[in-house]
Amino acid sequence: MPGKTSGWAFALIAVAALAIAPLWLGTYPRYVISVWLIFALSAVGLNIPIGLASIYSFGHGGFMLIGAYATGVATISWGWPLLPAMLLAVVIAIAVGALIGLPSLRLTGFSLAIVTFAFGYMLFHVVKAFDLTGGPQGLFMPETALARAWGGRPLYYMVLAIFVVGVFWAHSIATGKTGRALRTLGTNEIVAQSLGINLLRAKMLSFMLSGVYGAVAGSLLALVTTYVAPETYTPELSINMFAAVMIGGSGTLVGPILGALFIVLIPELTQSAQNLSEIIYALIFCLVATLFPSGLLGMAKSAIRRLRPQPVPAAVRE
Amino acid sequence: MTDHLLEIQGLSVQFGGVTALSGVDLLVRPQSVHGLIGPNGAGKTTLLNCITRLVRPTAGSIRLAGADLLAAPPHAIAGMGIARTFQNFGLIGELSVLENVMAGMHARHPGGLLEEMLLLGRRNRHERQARARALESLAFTGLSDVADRLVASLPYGMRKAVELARAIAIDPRLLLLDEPTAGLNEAEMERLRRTLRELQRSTDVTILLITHHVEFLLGIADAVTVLDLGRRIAFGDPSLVKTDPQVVAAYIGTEA
Repeated sequence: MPGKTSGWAFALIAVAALAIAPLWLGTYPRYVISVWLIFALSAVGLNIPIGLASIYSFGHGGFMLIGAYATGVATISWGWPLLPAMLLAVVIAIAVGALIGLPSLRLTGFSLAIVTFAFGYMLFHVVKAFDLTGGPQGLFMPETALARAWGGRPLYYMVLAIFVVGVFWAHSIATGKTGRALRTLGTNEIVAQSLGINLLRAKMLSFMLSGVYGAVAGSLLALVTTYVAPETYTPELSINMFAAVMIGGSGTLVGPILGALFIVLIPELTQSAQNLSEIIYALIFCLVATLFPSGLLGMAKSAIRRLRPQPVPAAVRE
Repeated sequence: MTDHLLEIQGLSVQFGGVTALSGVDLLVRPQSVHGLIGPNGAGKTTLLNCITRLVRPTAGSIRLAGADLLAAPPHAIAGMGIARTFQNFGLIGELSVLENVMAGMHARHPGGLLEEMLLLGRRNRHERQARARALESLAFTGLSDVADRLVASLPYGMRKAVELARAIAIDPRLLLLDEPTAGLNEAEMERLRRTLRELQRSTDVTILLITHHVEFLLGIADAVTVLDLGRRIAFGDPSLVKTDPQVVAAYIGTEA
């Protein structure tokens, strides 16, 4: 594992690069990076139940939908300013996250996974059914000042800033008391209880946190793509988010960010293959998941280990 | 009766139609080491599980210094000063030894989500305090050298010691040890005995331990309670294990 200092240095360099790059980059690459950061933020949030608490959630797209639609409806139909609209999205996501977390004590992992999937599935059909949410066409977001000024760079920087804060929080949570509690209950619930961890509270918390990340990501996605359509928030999105976490490396900080890059970039790169693109995408998925079960990050780590000279174990040295 | 830290009276547990415990009494004096012994299936672990509220008894009472434990939810037990180790480990293999011990300090470690998101100064201070306490506990159990090793990479005996370090890190009033000697070699057992003796000397801890190892029991216990098939068949001085014919038949007789 890299040392603490080198980890911070790496993070600093990465953020600096992401901050400087858009000064030169054109609209399209900036758009792709924005979308990556948004999916990465979402994946980092989903990693809290999956990677820390070992609770498999297949409804994360539903939280992104909540974020996008709450922002869309509040700004378009009710004329709210952006910040209160995003706040509304977060509040709804927290409430829904608590609701999904509520049965988590009574259900086994599989049953709970089905509940989360059904939740995302239901929301997808709900927004299609009602006029308030624009029905099957969805909602077109008005162009914000953030997107108009300076070629849309303010919006990019807003996405980057929220991403950085989100990742920092996730790190603080994962390496602190909450993260240890979630990892403990993810390993052994009986032990967790004996150590004083309130299972229901911790599980609900993990869903609420992931909901906040998902909702903020959805809200930003609505702003960046300028429209909110049901087809963006299909149950497939939930599967993609799950895959991003697992392919990148669950339980790590960088893994979900890498995984999000994968699910954003591969479709973009395979676009030229036209109707084969989805098939190529799915095939790459299968390959990566089969070849690197511990994720892209795990693969990178073991590659680095192999390149470095092996330290001789103490027992052999003596 | 209040001169006992732990008072269990008439404890019964039924699993379906099976009686795991039947009207068991157990009294543990403060700052003593109390051995809980009996053949496999006697109900020893079930009794510990009742104390930590993992199993709901069908009858009986459990009091810790007068407080009714059966009225508390399972996750409140650690906060009341009860720590335990498990027969088959409850460690997180992918975390370091130090992180495992820190995870065990959940009940005693202030902080949580709010600090982790908004009060980073306090979060980091509490983390440092928890780390310092965890390192003390590791030093106490002779694990300082492996603090940064992943638990999954440690040999069996050391993982046993990590469990003990995690349990004592919260400075418990009552320490419940489920088969701490199982699978240990002579040297490890002697180290365990010394560690527990030192713990007794330096803190007010009361220990309730399950063991199949007669010599270890005689070397450390102040009193014993003997269970067989869910009933208490004897209690009193540890020497019972060698003198009481009923105990010898039930306990030693079945021991390999």
